[in-house]
Amino acid sequence: MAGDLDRLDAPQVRARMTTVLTVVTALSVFLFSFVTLVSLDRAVAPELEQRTRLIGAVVRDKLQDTIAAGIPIRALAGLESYLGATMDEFSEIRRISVVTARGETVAEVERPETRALLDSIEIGRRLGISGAELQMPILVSNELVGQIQIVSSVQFVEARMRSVLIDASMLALVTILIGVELTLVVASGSIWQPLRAIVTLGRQQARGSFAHTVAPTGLSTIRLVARRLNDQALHLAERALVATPGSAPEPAPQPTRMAMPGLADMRLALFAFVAATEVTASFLPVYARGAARPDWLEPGLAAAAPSALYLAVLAILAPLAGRIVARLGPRTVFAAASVPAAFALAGMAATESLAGVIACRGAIAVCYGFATIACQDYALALRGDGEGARVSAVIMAMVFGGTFCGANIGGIFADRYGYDATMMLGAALAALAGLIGWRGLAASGDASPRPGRPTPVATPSRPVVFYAFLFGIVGPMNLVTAICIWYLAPLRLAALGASPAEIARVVMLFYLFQLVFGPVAARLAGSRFGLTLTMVAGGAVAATSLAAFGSQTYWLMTGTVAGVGAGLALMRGPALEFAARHAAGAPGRLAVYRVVERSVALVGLTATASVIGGEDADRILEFLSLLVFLGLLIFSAAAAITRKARGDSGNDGMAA
Amino acid sequence: MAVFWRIWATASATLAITVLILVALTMLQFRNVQRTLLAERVAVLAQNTAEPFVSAMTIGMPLSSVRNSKALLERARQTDDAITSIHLLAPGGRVLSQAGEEEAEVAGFAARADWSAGAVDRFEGGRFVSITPIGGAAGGPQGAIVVSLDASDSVNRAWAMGAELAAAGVGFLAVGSLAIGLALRRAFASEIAAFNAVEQDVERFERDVWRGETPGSGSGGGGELHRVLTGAHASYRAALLRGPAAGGAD
Repeated sequence: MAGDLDRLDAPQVRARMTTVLTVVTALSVFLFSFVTLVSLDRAVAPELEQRTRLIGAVVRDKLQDTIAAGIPIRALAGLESYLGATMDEFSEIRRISVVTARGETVAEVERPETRALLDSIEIGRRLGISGAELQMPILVSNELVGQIQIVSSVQFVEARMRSVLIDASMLALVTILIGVELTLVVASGSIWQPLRAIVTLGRQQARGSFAHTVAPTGLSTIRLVARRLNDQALHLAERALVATPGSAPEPAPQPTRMAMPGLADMRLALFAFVAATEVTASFLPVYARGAARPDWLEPGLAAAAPSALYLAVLAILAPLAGRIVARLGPRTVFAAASVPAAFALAGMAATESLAGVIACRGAIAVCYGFATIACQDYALALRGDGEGARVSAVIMAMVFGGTFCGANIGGIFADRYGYDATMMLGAALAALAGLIGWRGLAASGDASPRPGRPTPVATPSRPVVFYAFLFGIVGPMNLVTAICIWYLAPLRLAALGASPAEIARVVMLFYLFQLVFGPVAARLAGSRFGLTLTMVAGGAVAATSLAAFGSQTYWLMTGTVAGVGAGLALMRGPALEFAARHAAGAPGRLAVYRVVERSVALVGLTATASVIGGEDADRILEFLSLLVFLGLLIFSAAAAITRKARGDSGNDGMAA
Repeated sequence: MAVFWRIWATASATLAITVLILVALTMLQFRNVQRTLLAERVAVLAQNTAEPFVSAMTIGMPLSSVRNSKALLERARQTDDAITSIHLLAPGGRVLSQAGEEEAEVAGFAARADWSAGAVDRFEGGRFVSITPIGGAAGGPQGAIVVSLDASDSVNRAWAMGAELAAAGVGFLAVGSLAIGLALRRAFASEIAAFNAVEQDVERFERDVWRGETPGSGSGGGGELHRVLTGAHASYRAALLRGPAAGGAD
């Protein structure tokens, strides 16, 4: 049972659930899209036919007037350019041709088209979808002079449907992610958590300690057992009398309710909160650049300013927030952070000027900092022996899952309803996250520590390795994220002509890869590969993508983003765990880690924003690539030297 | 099994929401496409209808002096059954001529709307009204053509498509839900079995207590939970026997 209990947080459960849901949903969406295509085509057909008839009538009237004036049909000059102009106005026409009564083609204009998807798989005709064909006679003085033939295109509907399908698929991914989280929360709340509670309580009572009770929750069987165990403790407390000499015996103190915090409590709350704050992720630079700004501030800096302030705030906040969370408890801090976040998002929607946008983004950064640090500390406090990488992976999964969903929803919403509506949605989500956090994060003050937790007395590791880690891994990693993903990618893609939804898709690819590769990183780090090697491998992948792909076209940029996402995913979870381990003997180090994370990104972002003109994107990406490689070198060298030194001295305290 | 039903319910809900999203997005897209197509078509029709008037204006004649304006408008109106009326407006919004039914609200809307900058469309309650300004090389448009269409047909078509998609969606949901159920059953077989073992442990413990046997002493077997419960119960009984003075809590 002990082994079974540990399975509740196991990545395999989530992986299995996600796989099942993804496969079934993908199949359903794929098949359903055919139904949708046919249905939409049938619905639009009458209107298309009307238009075709109208075009035919217009062209015919023109021709009839000209021919009636005496010009023979064959001598009509400039007919093709007139037909071409007509075709430009009506995008669904594929071919217009004018034919004489004898069948000779006088003029013909055709729009080149790739084969429609339905035709390629040969079911178009069977489903009843084919382009409409119309023939109109040209009559002059009751004599049939010729005919106009108009053929309309099958692709019209398909092209319209494509954007719907892509958006729907992205939203489907979001829904699956949220669905998996919800399912795990439901299962955890009704089965796994209560089960763990009663087993812990039972073990305590078996040892002879009846000082606690648990809340009876979950399925009926477990609730019953919980009530029975509680009753044992309460009954004994009733009957017990504390005998103090010289005074009447009084009842023993009542058993206290035991709080059993678990990772699952924090997951959904963190997920929702991050999703709320990241709804603007895909369009913030574009939005900021378009806001009203003072004349001395150039567009590049304006675009970067909100993200820069965000980073600055997080950097300054890190040491302070850690202390506040320790004092007030994660639950209070988290719930308290969600309220101003909601207001700040609403404020960003209301404001017109750049200063307003920056101020609101700063406020959101403050709240985000508090909320994420609260959840991180909550989770890190819960981890037992050897589970570190897994817990970090869960935190990263929630942060990136939330960012993925938030950016996705934000992009699609912004495309259809505008930026302001999207930000209001984010505000509502932030409030919801606060509620979930309030209910979910138990006050971990009186939580019983998980068995096997390492005692806090540990010799701090050598500072050399830690600082090499900071400058070689953490710095470049956050630099790349801030410059490439938050700043360069949206701006460059917008310059290449992409819409907000399309930019969101690419930015989201980054977060999706982080999500997908996060558990891989955890597994690699937990195996013989080790933390160090995993991080180095990740860095190599990221740096290679930056150098190899570049930013010249939409697809190349997408490749860069994907590669960077995969690489950074391998680095991020292990990096947090590495920092946490090295902070075991020196608590200040975790704060230093957080500060460095943000300040490096901030510096890099402002530097890039003030330097770049937009065309130098490739140069910057190459520079970043070089930086990452350099950092990897420094870190590997330090780690190797330290390990060698430790191996010589025989002390195996800290694993690198 | 309770494990299973809850997970299945949540997973099916996820699939349902996805299908719903697809249907909603399609309906939205259809509405946009429909409106764009209609507006473009009506714009072309209005341009065509306006041609003779534009020729008149080019040689300096005021719109009101075009004699067969009613016939011209009527001819345009007959190109499509759905058109209920076509009006010709003077720059101030006054109706100069019209073909088709008398529609006071259309005239009212036309008088109020500001079409000096460009065409104005309104899609409302099954009627589509489009105002296209004409002429106006210098000094703004010299008039406008108002085309009013009965769009209830397209509204019906939208609802029909929605119903079709909803029905198909329900079908897909049913099949998908079944598939999810089967897949989850197989994927989580070990967890479900583990939970069944938990329930059996509790069963066994309760049965021992009802039988009056000391739990654990009777038939062997039972998993970790059974052992835990047995231990807790034994410890409890021991504390009871020790008596109140010794205190239950330590």
